[in-house]
Amino acid sequence: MSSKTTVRFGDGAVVTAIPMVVGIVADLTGIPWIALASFLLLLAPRLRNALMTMEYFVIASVLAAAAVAAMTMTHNPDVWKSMWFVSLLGTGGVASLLCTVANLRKQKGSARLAFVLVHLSVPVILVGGGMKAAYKQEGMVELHEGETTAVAHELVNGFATGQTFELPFRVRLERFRVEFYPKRFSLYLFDARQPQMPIGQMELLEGERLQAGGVTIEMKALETETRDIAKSHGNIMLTSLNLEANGLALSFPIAATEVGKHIPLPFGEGGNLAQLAHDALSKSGGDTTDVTILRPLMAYQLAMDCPEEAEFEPSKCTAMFLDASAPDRPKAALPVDAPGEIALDGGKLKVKLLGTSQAPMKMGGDGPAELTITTAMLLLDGEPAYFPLTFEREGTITDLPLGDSVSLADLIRSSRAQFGTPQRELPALFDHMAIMVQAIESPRTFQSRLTLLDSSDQPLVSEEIQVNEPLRYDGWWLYQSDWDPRRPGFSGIQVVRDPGLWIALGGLFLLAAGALLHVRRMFVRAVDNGGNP
Amino acid sequence: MSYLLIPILYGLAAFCWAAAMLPERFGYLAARSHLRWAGFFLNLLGLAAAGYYVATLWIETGHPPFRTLQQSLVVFTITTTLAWALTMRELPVAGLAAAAFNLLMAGYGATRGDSNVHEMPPALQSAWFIPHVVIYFAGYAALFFSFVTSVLYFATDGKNVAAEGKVDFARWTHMLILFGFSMLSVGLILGAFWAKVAWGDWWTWDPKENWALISWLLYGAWLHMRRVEGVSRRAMVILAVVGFFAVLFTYLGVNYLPAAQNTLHSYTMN
Repeated sequence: MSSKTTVRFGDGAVVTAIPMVVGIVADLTGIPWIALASFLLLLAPRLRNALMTMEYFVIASVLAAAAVAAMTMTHNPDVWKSMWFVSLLGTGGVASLLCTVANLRKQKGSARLAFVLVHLSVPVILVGGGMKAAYKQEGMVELHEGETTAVAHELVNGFATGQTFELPFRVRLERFRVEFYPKRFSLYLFDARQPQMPIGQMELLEGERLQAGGVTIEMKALETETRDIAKSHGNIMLTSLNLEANGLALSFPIAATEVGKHIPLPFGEGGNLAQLAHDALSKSGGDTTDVTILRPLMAYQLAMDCPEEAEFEPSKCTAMFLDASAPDRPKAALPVDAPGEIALDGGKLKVKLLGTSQAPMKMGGDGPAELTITTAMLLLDGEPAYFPLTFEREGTITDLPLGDSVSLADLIRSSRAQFGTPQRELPALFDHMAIMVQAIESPRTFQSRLTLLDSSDQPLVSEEIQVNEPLRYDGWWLYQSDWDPRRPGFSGIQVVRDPGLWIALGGLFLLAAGALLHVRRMFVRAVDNGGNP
Repeated sequence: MSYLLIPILYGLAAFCWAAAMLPERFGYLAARSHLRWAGFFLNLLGLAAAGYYVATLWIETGHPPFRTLQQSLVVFTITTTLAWALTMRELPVAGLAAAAFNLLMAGYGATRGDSNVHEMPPALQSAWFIPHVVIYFAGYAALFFSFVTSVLYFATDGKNVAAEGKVDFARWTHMLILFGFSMLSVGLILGAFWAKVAWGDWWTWDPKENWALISWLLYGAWLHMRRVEGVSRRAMVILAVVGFFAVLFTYLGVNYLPAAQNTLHSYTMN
């Protein structure tokens, strides 16, 4: 636009390409100074004018955008220092500067100011960025409370180089403090056959769902216990968990020590309720009277024998296992208040009562009476299987069918019915699921009180720093950067010195001011045109 | 109030606006002006629902609800609807565009859910946060409309269309891109200042920064391309469309880049 010399079509492409080619040569030879040869471009009036064309800016900007997109994919922090890329940006900066100067007299008023601010900002930012790339010093100072040091571990691109350097002052960490948000719990689902990687994760919040491998786990309820351990971060313990997996209710306690460890789900291993349900359903289509795995159970019946006293005392009852073909001869009996294990069928089948509970009952009342065996363990062909087993009878106390019996298979069926009979085959993952519960504590703030000391131990400055509130001293910025939950009182302080900082920030400020001025001019024009932009 | 109300209201609005634009022979649906009014009020209701969502969450948590993807999508629908309110007199198609786009954005947010709304990582506890986010979304909204007007400009062959009340799509596209580009500039700079204060460096070639720079460069190129002699309309439209896709990728796509998983820009913090 400023060119008085003729600019031929394609000149914009040429002045974009030449510095990049020179930059590539500099990269290949490993001599970065070769890239400076691009400045020879400026000596040819035609090329110099080509740098000030709109065409050049379009080509160079689109090319730079493509280059940035491609280099973002490489994850290699060094690509940003390749000379071909630096040359491309540098040429853009020089061109922007030339345009600013050439157009100073062409425009007037706020249009000129906006133009100058925006176009001048580009070379200024690039100079600041170049100085940063060349002279920035960055390091990590690691301190425990009360320690003092001047040694920083050097960082380049955020990675430790293994080198150290001395700061011009000594840093003392007076105090380090972390504050946390309330503890949250997260559940990870594993396939026990490949326990290295979780296959799903959910936050343990009521109503949260997790879907993986055909299994849907829904969070029902979570019980926690607050422990009053002063100075400990972890004062909330997870005590029990209610989940629902594909419609099957699961409720189990989680010891605090189990947080962070794999817990097989209650139907985790072979021959369990899920397997029972799975087999029963797949083999008989929902009606489970003739199922191989249930067959040994079919031979037995469970009965409750309770003393006939004025006040019903479930704890005095005895669980009796009867042979279905000869119900008057109990095979085995277990007192309900001292649950234990009995072997049936020559040891092939073991039944263990783990406990009982009952709903409140009134003597002579009309309310439903209930006796529940909360948990039972079956040992089928030597394989343990846990499942909740519910034995319910409704009726008044006087009707309580003491001595009545029910088949174990019925019990299992009824407990499944209580879970809501699954209508489809359960996914294979069901037999191999494990969960892990993890406590998550996110920090709300980290704060370090720092004192900087000179060589004679005189304090220079003392300030509290935290994320977003660094300490600045003599060109050095000190940031709250790191902490370690396993090392109380430890604080990682990032130290940065960037001599190009204020140039770059100044350039950025020019750009912001120019951009806002453009917007203002646009709105002023819109108002002048009666609302029509 | 459920989050779902937001996409539902915008969905209804989009339906009304679209129905109002059907050719005359479908006029039995309802009087067109009634449908436009319905679209108009539904857009406002969507804005009110989104505003209520942001306000209640802000009050409840005590910090600006701009952190998660879902929250930021709600902010985006707000700026898009405000951009519609500012442009609707001259740009009748803006009502449909805003409603349809907001339906898309809020609907996407519904699939993503929201978590840990009560927690704010220390790096985001900053005075820079609100202007950085708001200015970017103001720019994004303008650039969305520039995408719409540039496509319409192309679809109408560059002619002013009588049905649209002689809208000068070329002029609109320029204005919207100039505004959007300025907001991208200011947003980028606020981000750079903030990054210096929070991370120790004003520019780290982080994927989000890079894509913000790519969007900025493409729109910068567009503003210069306008004044290159002999450039075809098609090239201008293509660059405007590519620019908007770069913006969308900056906002939504970068999260899926493997390198973005550890930045504060990824919307996937635990």
